[in-house]
Amino acid sequence: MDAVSRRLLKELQDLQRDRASSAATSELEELAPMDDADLLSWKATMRGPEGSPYEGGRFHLTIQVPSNYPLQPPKIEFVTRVCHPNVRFATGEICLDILKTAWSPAWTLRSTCLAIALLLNHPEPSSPLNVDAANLLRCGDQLGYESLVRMYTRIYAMQ
Amino acid sequence: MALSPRTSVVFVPRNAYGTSYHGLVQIGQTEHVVRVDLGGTPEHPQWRGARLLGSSALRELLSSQMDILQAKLELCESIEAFTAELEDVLEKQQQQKTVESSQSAVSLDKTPTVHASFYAGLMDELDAVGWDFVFELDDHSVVLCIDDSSGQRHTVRAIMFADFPAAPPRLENDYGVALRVERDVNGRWLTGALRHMNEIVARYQHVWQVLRHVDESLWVLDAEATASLRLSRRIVLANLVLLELTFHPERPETLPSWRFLGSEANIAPLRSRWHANRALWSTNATTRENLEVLLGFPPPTRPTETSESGGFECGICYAYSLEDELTVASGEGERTSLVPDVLCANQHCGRPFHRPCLIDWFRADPTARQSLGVIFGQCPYCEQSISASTLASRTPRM
Repeated sequence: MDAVSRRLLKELQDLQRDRASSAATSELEELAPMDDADLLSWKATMRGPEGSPYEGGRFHLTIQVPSNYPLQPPKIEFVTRVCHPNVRFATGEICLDILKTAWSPAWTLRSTCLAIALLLNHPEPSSPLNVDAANLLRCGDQLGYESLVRMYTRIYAMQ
Repeated sequence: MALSPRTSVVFVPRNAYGTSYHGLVQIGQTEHVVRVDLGGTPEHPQWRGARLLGSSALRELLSSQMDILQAKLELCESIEAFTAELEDVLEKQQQQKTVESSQSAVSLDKTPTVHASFYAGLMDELDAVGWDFVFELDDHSVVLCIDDSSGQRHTVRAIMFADFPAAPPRLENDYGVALRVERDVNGRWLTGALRHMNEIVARYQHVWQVLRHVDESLWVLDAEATASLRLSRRIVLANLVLLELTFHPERPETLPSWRFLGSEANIAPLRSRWHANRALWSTNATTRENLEVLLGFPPPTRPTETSESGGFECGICYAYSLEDELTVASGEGERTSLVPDVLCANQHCGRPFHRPCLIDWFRADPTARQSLGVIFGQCPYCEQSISASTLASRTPRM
């Protein structure tokens, strides 16, 4: 077995061991390989953080693990449409430093997903992929921003 | 490579109406007789319904093509057209055969010719050694085994070359001890090898017993790899604290050479205690008893969960032992596995890494810098600076 599979298998074991204790509290509802035969494609489901305009929504993500993981970060994208200053509305692409330059092998798939959950509630409007959402925040229109997010969450993430 | 055998096809009519033909098919040196009978009446011969008849030898030769030829025959308009078809099929088949036979010829070339003297010599040697000591035997190697007084089996593999017994065999064993390759007084190789192996077993019997005791009574990390005679053991003392002991091959009961592994804050008190108590090492006590005296606490025993590696897995690949692919690839035939040997110096972190994993990460990390065979970068966990030598280092062997 190659090094990538060994590491992913270990992450999967840790996930299964911690599942019972962490599922209730964490925003990460599901994190698992799409298919038992291929450890390089994963899917994740996260709940919108409580108290955020995403609350009540369920967001699906796909994770593509590169063959030289953990030297390279996994590619993670939203499948569910999400309105967020750092997520491209049309493609689900995520702008987060640890998915690009600030990646380190210390991150696991689980901790990376939790970082994305954290990003939902802590947008970074200075490096936007969704300029409309970012502009609302940059103009200080918190109410307008939250209403917009709540609307899209209701449309796309609450079926 | 042989030239492709010549094929030729000739047909002659058997009657004036041209409703039946005799044919001669030549493939290489052999000739085969075929017959083509047309359908219809003698007045109105028809190619539809024509039949191809041939000797059983030819039929066998063309087994897979026979049906195709029959189908083609019925579509032909003249005997000339069919002649061309048949020639085409035969030529293709011959080419295929030539390729196949040349391939098998190549594979045969790789096996050197073995003379009867090889087997005569080998049998003579094995008779002299005694068949009780023969553990495995195949056409170019023999494994001899010796059971020591404690019942452990030791093996030595002799690999014979084609010019054996004139040329010496190559001897391999698991112990990292080079065996002398020399003839005994009767000019035999294997008896000499077995005798030398016996000497080694007798000589190192003691150290093997001590090591086995260490493996059983202490939490030794790489115990799976201890079949070979590595004289060093890594013993878990606490989370992320290891003691590496290297035993003396002939006096294993004396104080082994030692090295603590872990973050400085954790190992400093252990090291000073060890220094202070060093003289208390007793040659009559077991290693475990001695460790307890020198460290001031009983060392932990191996947990029942076999997967636990004392938190000493590499922080990058998450595995404890890493097969050294370089060694395997270079064909030394000796598989070494690496254990995490670079530790983060930050006492709150102290993460262990395999040197190759860390080097791979530094190569992927644009902030890392290399200078004179050492790469400097940051610990992936705590960002403390950490370095790794790119020059190969090997675990000490006997």
